[in-house]
This record gives sequence, structure tokens and C-alpha cells, in this order.
Amino acid sequence: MTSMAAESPSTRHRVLGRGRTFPVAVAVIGAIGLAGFVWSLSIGPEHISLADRIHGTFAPDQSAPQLIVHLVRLPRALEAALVGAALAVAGTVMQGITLNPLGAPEIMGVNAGAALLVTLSVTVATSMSGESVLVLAYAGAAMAAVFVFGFARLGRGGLSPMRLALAGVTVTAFLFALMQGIFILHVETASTLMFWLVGGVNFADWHNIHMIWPWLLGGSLAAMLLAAPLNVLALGDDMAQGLGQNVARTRVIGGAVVVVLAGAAVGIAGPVAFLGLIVPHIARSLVGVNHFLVMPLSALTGASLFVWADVGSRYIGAADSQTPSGLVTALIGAPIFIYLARQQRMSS
Amino acid sequence: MRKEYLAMSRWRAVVAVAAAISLVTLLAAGADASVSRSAATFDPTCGKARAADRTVDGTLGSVTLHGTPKRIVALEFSFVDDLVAVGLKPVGIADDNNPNSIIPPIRAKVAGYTSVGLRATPNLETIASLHPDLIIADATRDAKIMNKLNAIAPTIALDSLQQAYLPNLHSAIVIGQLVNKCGAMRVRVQQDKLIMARIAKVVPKSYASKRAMFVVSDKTVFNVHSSLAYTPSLLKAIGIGEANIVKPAKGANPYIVMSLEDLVSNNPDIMFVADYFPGTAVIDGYQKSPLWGTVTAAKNKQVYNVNPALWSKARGLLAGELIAQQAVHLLFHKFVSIALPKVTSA
Repeated sequence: MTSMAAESPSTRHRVLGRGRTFPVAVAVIGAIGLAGFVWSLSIGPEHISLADRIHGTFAPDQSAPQLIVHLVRLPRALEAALVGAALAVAGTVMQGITLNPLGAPEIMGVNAGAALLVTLSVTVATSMSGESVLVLAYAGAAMAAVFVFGFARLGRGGLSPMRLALAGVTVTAFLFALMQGIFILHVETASTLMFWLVGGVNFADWHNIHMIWPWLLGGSLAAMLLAAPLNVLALGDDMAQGLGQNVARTRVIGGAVVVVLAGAAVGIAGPVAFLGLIVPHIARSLVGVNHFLVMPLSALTGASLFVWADVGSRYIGAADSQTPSGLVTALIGAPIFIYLARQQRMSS
Repeated sequence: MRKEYLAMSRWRAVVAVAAAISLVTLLAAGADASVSRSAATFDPTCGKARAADRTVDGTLGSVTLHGTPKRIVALEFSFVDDLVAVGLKPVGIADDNNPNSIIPPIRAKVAGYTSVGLRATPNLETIASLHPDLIIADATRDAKIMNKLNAIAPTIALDSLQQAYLPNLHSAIVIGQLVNKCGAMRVRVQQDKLIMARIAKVVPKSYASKRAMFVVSDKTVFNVHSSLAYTPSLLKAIGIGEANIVKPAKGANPYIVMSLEDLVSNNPDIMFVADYFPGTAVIDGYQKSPLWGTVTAAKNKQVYNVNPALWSKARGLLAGELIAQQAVHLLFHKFVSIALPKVTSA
């Protein structure tokens, strides 16, 4: 868990050495992401000319093709990029505060909390059905995270990375069990949620993006401010405390950042799996372990990956039916994770 | 010691609270599962029992019956509707643990039935406790539990879920054979066709080429029922719209998830919308978009909200007639009676 402390000389080398690859990585991944974004704008049942796609993106008139680009395709691609970036940064912070390479926003209970509250709202607690899925999912994610932190702080020993991870896994399993219980008792109503539970940006619109971008911006800035404390924390709790860091405070702030970012992402896209787990590993394998570099590169990689996952989802299933884009992240997430594990490039 | 004891008791308290929360949540979730389990009564109008064994063919194989079944369990709403159509009342119904899932005119006729739970996962123990002599199961949904159902009582699987209007009509005919009321059911199906013809007379010929769409909108999905599904095929039968806007492969899921662009691209002339969560469903978001105005149905104010339980779940004889009656009432403001016409023999 504290392998970073043991390998600190080589780490220093990696931080300094791999930092030079940062601009190249940003340029290459940015270009890949941009290509996916442009491709995403060209996919849909309506054939829309390049000129209409360009006008629709930047200055749409009231014609149907340009409105489709501006009101359906552009928010979908943008939402995929935002969700991917948010989950990736949340994953980086999560792995940083838990010193655990398996750390992911899901561990904070955000997916389970969001899924539970949304399932409740369409089944037993229909009094909540007046709320939008976005609000319900965000609230569920936040409540679950508070539960995880509360659970982790109980007893002696305070907020250690191990306790946080264990509390997260326990609470997640507990909330998912509750959700499954309700799901089974109300399978007719709840089964309509199957699509949402896979996660995706199929129903993206500007309204959701307007609701969510201030949270994403705030969360991302806070994550960048956490880069320095996370670099110190990576040396291990004892070393970090010795260097004067308030370890518990870093963890609480980090947890809050994870909730803000991942909660917003789950709110608009549902419980998307794997992104928060694998993207930080990809970023670290490219630029080393310095959070000042890993954080922005994770955001860019997460955005690119989810944009491409969403593009891929258009080619799965019936041509005229939607397939949740989260399905692709789950499908590609596992092999990428296994590949990274085999390459032994996983580090916390 | 005292510290450890306190820590332990705190943990115990946490575990107890967690257990209590889970118990309360699950109990609350199952609260509406408690329905009347009063003993079902036999229906005396089951006709003259036949002593001879007979074999009736269903979608997934045949069933051999001895005499006339009197204690029937129905695992789909349409089977309940069809049984009521010939004066019968099932002793057990898979009503999704909610009697209000059955449309009111049918519900009124089956009072006293025992709920056998969800249509998706019927409670086999409750079914067995009813000592049925016939179970009518759904050929799609219940295919995997046919062995278990057959171990309880003779079971037949018929078409209902994901099936069009005509296969559902055929299921009614088979139910007539099962309950030894072939003649009465043939008459009732004939009456159904006459009622549909009566309703179809109100529909102008130009509506045959309209593009009608039936949509079920939920908090998280926008599901279009294709022409393979019940309601669009029923609308087509009365001359409303060419329901074949979307054509999934035969045998594929007849329900299609659509984005706003898919909807704009399909551009229906008429939309019937079953909105389970008015105000927060996916369609409510679509309706706020400037693109909504480009859909012909919206432009011409031909988007109609309909009852989700009737339009998307019922599929029986009476249910079909009610849907057709409501459709012409919504479109043409004309009330067509669905009173049963006189038919001497079918």
C-alpha cells in the first residue's frame, strides 16, 4: 500500500525523467480524443453534411440538421468528454488518498448510492419521483460517500487508507445489496432502469451540462490544488505527517473532491464502470507518478477514452436502437486493466 | 479494557443500525406486496365438464387436460382479460404485487383472486398452494420456468409479452379450448373483430399512411414500441398509421430505445405517449428542446398522453378494444361504443 515510500529514489527519477514525455502524451492523447469527438459529431441516423456539422457546432441556424448537431450530438460528445475527465480525475484522487492502486470513485460508494436512490425513486419512494435523475443520483452519491467516511472514522486508528478502502467496499456492497433487494421486489418498474444502470450519455442535453459544469470545474481545480499534498501523501502516512502534512484533512478534502466529480458524472451518465480505475494507471504509465502531471493527463485520457467508448457504442446492437455507452467502458476496461497488471505498471 | 469495550459496543451499535436500516428498507420495499390472500372461489360458469382427455397446443408445446380446469392461475394480464371474456375468474394472478396493475373493468371481475407475485418472477410456492388445475404462462417470459410450473400443474405457454395483436387474439382462442368454452371464445373473438371494424370506420383512409408511434417514457429511457409489439399492430388493425416505422429483426426485442435525433429522424405524424413519470421522464426533456418543434406530431399537436397500464401492459381482448376506442377519441373526438355486438355463431 505504501510501495511508493520504498521506491522513492527511483520514483524521483521517474517523476523527473517521465515529466518530459508529458507534452508529447498530451498532444497525442488530445489528438486522439479530438478525432473521436469529431467522429462522434458525424454519427447518427440523419446524414448531416460537413458544413452543417461545422455550423451546427459553432453557430447553428434554425435548420433541423444544424439543430441536431448542436442540441443532440454536440452535448453528447461534450458530456462524454466531461464525464470521462471527471471520473478519471476522481479516480486519480481516490488512488492518491487511499494509496491503493485499486482505488476508484466506485469505492467511495458513489455508484451504489446513486443507483440506490434512483431505484428507490421509481419504486417505493415515488414521492421522490418529482426530482430529476441528475439530482437523485448526485444526492445518492454524496450520501453514500458521507456514510463511507463516517464508517471509516469509527473506532480507533482514525482515517487510515486501509479503513477507507474497507469501509468503501463494505458500504458499496451493502448499498448494492439494498438496491438489488428493492429491484427484485419491484422488477417490473425497476427493469426500466437497466439501461441507465449500465451508464451512458445517450440522452445527453445542454440542460444537464449547464447544471453540472460548475461542479466539474470546481472539483477539477480542487483536485489540482491537491496535487502537492497527494505527492507528499504518496510517501506514506508517517512520512507525510513527519513533513507536517495533516493527513486526515487531505483525505477528507480528497474524498469531497471525489464526491463532487464522480457524483456529477454519475448524475448525468449513470454508474459508468472502470474509467476511474484504469485511466490513472494509463496516465501514470506515461508520465510517472507526479500528481501535477498525472491529474491533467488523467482528465484528458478519461475524456478521450469515454468519447471513443461512446463512439463504439453506436456500432453495437441494432442500428436504430441506442446502446448504453457505459457498456463499452465495461467491455474494454477489464482487458486494459489486465494488460496493465501484466505489464506491472500499476503503482499507487 | 473499558476503551476496548466501548469501541466494541460502538461497532455493535453500527452493525445493529446497518442491519436495522437494511431490514426497514426491504420491509418498506415489500410493504405493498401484501395483498389479500383470501381463499379463491370456484367460478360456477365453467360449462359442462368433459370427461375425455384432450390435448391443446400452446406456443412451447402442448398440454393434456382431464376434464375442464376450474382453478386457473394466469401469469399475464391478457390471459386474465381473456378468461374474464368468457365469464371465468382465475384463482391466482401474477399482478406485480399490485392489484391496480390490472385495468379497472377486469379488476372488478376478478375480485378475490390470490396474487402470485411478479409477472417476471411469480411465486411458485403461492401458485402450488392454490392447487391449480391449469397454469397459463407467457411463452417469452416464463419459458425458463416451464418445468417448475409443470411440476405444480398442467401448464401451457401462450403468446402475450412482446407479441403483436393477432398472436394475442390467437392466445384467446387457445384459452377457449383450454377452458372448454371454444364456442363462447370464438364468438367473443368475432365480437372483438366486429368492434375493431366499427372503430376502424371512424378512421379516415388517409390515416393508413400516417406514421404513428407508441412510446413508453420513463425516468431513464425513451422506448418506442415497434410494429412487432402489441399496441402499434393494434392501431394498424384499425387503420391508424403505418406502424412499421422501425423494423427490428423478427424475433428481436420489439422495443427500441431512441435518442432525440432518432425521434427526429423517424419523424412520426402521431405520437401516443405512456409517460410513467410526467415532468421528469426522458420525453419531458425532449419536449423542452427546440428540436421537438421539428417533429411533425409535435408541430401538428398530435402528441397524446395515454394510460401506461392499459396501453403498454394489458394486451387482452377488452384492453385492446379500450385502446382502440381511446385512440379514435383522442384523434377524432369521436366516441365509439365497444358494447358487444350480437353474434349468433362464429
